[in-house]
Amino acid sequence: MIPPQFDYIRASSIDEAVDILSEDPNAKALAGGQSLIPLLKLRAAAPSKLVDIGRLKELRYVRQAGDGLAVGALATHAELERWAGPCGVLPEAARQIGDPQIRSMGTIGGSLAHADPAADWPAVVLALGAVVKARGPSGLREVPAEEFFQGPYSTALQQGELIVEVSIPRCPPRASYVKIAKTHNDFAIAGVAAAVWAKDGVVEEVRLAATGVGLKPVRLRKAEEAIRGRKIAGDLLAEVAEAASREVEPVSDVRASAEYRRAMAGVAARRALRRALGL
Amino acid sequence: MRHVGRPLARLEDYHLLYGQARYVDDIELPGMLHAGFVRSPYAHARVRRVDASEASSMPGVVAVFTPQSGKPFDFAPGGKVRYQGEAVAMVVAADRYALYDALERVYVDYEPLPAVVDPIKAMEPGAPLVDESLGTNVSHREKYASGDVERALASSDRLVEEELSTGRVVPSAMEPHGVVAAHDGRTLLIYDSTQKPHVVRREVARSLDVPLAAVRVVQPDVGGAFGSKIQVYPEEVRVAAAAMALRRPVKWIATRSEDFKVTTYGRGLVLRYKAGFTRDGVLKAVKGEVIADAGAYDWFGFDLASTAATMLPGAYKVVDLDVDAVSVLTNKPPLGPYRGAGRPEATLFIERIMDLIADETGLDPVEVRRRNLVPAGPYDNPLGLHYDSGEYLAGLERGVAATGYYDLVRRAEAARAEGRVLGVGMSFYIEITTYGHEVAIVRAERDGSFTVAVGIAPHGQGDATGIAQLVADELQIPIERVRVVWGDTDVVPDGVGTDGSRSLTAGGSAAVLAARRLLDELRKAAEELLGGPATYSEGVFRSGDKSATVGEIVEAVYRGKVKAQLEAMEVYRARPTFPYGVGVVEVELDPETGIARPLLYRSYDDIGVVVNPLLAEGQIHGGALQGISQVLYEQVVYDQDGSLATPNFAFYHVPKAVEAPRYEPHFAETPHRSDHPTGTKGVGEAPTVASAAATIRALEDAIRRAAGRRVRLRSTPVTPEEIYRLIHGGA
Repeated sequence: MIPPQFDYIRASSIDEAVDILSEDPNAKALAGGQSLIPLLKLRAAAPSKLVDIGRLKELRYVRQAGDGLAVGALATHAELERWAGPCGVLPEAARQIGDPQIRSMGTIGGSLAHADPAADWPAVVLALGAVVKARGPSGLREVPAEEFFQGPYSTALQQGELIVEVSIPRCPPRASYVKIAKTHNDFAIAGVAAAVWAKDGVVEEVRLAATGVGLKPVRLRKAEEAIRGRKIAGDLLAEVAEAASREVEPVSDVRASAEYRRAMAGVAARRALRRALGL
Repeated sequence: MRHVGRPLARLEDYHLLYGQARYVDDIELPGMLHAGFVRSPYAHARVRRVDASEASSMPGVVAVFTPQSGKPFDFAPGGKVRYQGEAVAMVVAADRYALYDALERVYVDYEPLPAVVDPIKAMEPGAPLVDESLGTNVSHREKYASGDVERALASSDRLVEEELSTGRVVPSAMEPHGVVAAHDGRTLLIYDSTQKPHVVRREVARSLDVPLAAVRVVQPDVGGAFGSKIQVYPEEVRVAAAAMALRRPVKWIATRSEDFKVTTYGRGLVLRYKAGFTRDGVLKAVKGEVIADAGAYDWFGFDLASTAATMLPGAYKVVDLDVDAVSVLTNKPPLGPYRGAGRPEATLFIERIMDLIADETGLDPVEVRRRNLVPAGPYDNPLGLHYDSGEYLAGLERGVAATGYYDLVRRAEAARAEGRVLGVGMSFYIEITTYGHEVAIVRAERDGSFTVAVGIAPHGQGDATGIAQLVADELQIPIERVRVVWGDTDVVPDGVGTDGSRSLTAGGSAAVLAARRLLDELRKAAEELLGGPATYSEGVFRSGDKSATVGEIVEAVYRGKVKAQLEAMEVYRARPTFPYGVGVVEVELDPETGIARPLLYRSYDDIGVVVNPLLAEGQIHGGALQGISQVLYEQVVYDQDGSLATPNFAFYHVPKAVEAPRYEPHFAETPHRSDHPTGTKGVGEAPTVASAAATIRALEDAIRRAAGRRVRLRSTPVTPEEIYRLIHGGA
């Protein structure tokens, strides 16, 4: 790697990292490095300082919290892949990210902060109704996932703010994440996460979210409406696929045309719901 | 015990497995400087001015070479750059950080010019010219014809006219290009990640006007090439020139992104043709042109088109042919050889035609090939190639049986009931391997062991193991008594290197003949020592009741008791030979997404003598995957301005282990030998030749099952999106 020159600081506490990041707008936090390091290699990023938070053990955890889960920002994809507790959609999604090397290094917090419009975690945290907890110069702030993603590589994080935790209030009893990609370690052409609460064979509550099909990850609200309150049956699948395809606003790029991504959003939604409901 | 034919483990692996491999970038010399290149962001632009003043004054910068520096720093010939990534200046600095900072501070004033990206459009009048001095983008055109194609077309029952194309691929060697050069006042020493150290030596000596004897090229461990390290790139000469000019060692290692910009690309051939066939499925005539998307400089474009044109008839009986080979300049990096180099394209083209005949006549694809195949060689292909040996028709039957082709077809049919969409494709191929001379030196040591130096330059293939097996058998000694060295122009004076599936055939034959010649020389000494005619067996000469080991004879020579050459050199000229066989691919298609995965590759190959089945199977694995991947995964995209839209592995997909199919290779039980001393025909490229043609048919088969109607695939790669549209409709 031959990046432009930068200073390197290994943060010994969250406070130290926040201090440095808030003083210097050109400083960047380094966690697992799976997005930032490639940008440095390409000389596409030229930070003044890298604040390495990778050794802050206090940010590296996954634990149950009430009906939900608290995931430390530095939990790696590999650690989430091995998670055997509630919110089984986390390991299901984690195993679809990159390859074993990337999963060993990359962190959920880093992925959310980078906000690649085709990354996997954003769709999952949206479907889980997660709250992103960020620490900044003025203390702890809670940002619902809905408000966190603002555009390609753009989030609600303000200068000096670090993600410290992803908090999932309530693990859905049925959930799934389906990613459609050309090869195993490629970015999603379309990915859809589904979280469903059912009662007496009826969809009581559902959250669907998609990635790769627009400038940022999105809730599929029309698709949700199409099935909320409905009896669980095979006919939901076609309807959810159609609604999802219709409501996304994908863009064309070298990986796929907008039309193809639109179609794949439907396929991913159908498959995610089918897997979540066990149909 | 004989060694040839046994699956011996590679002798080349120890240092790789124990972390002792030494690639170019591992080489550090005292006082070494680092070189890098300023590269054009435009595919086509006039270079008005190169301003290196700021870069030159930066800390750590030792030199900047610009077009004004003169040869060999004649960047931007004709005052313009012709592809995105073409070098316009070279910076040499004390370390890579200083180097890359300085590269950003060389200011080039470009005047962008309209770029020509598509070779077909490049042939049209009024297209922007890549090389104005030619007055056209057609760099070379040559006709290969036989029989009377017009009459044969006129008398055909059915005619077809279409265009088939193989998209460009990135060779994607794991190790990018790199070179280290150092001049000590007597010797210009070059460490180079190359397939051809002796060719590099000649090119550098010629370009820099130094005696050949003063240039030594060493090929260290090389992390793959697949043909992309055949060309002697301008960078290699310029790094050597900089080392001489600056009197310091200089290293250049391409980054991966740089490798995507400058390495020669593979495939990139188009066949525009008209063909006629009978209602019985017999191909009567092909008239057309093979067009190479040669890129900005016609380094290999014409050669590739010409290979594909002359191999187009394959082993089929068609004699009425009229095929032009055309190379066309475009504003893209130069085209170059890539595993198969013209034969995978020729085979894909002719096998696509065979499949079309099958679909049009309703005949079984195997039956179509049966009706068209030349029964057996030797056979003179109507376009001038002499196929040496083989039973093509019987080979087809054996191949179809060995691969269980019809079982796979039945399995694909049965899978529909389970809701799975499988597709099966087969191809019959014949390909040309081996050319040129090769050099080997065999030396007898004092203890009766032997050192073999060869001019071939293997870089992962395991040829040294194969050559050790051949020489050990020739000398009737254990393989542990033979050491094979290569990749150093000081140990063997000449050679072509490793490409064209020729190394074991050409290099191995040279080594076998050199060993034979050395044995004759030692026998003369033995007879003088023993006082009578001597026989040789297993390292020992015997005459009557007296005997002498090879070691004792060598000792006697060094003590002056007897005179003999202890080293024998053989220059072997190797004529082409023609392996052939059957490749079968099974794919599974997800009809909802258009994404297809290869499940199985089965093959039946007559590659002549199989020296080492383990090595040969390894070649089948890697070669087949590259052919499959050409069809399923690897896509190079340029925008209309000639900018590469797939500039690295985040956008360009090479298959990983998870994408690989199961491999079940079979080799002919009674192979047809080549007439070379080794009897081998080469296997490095055969699986790539066979697999691409079989994969595209397998996809077609799967899409037909999913869509419920016949489709025709005419180009590679076939993207999931394209497949999706074929199944579901849409623009």
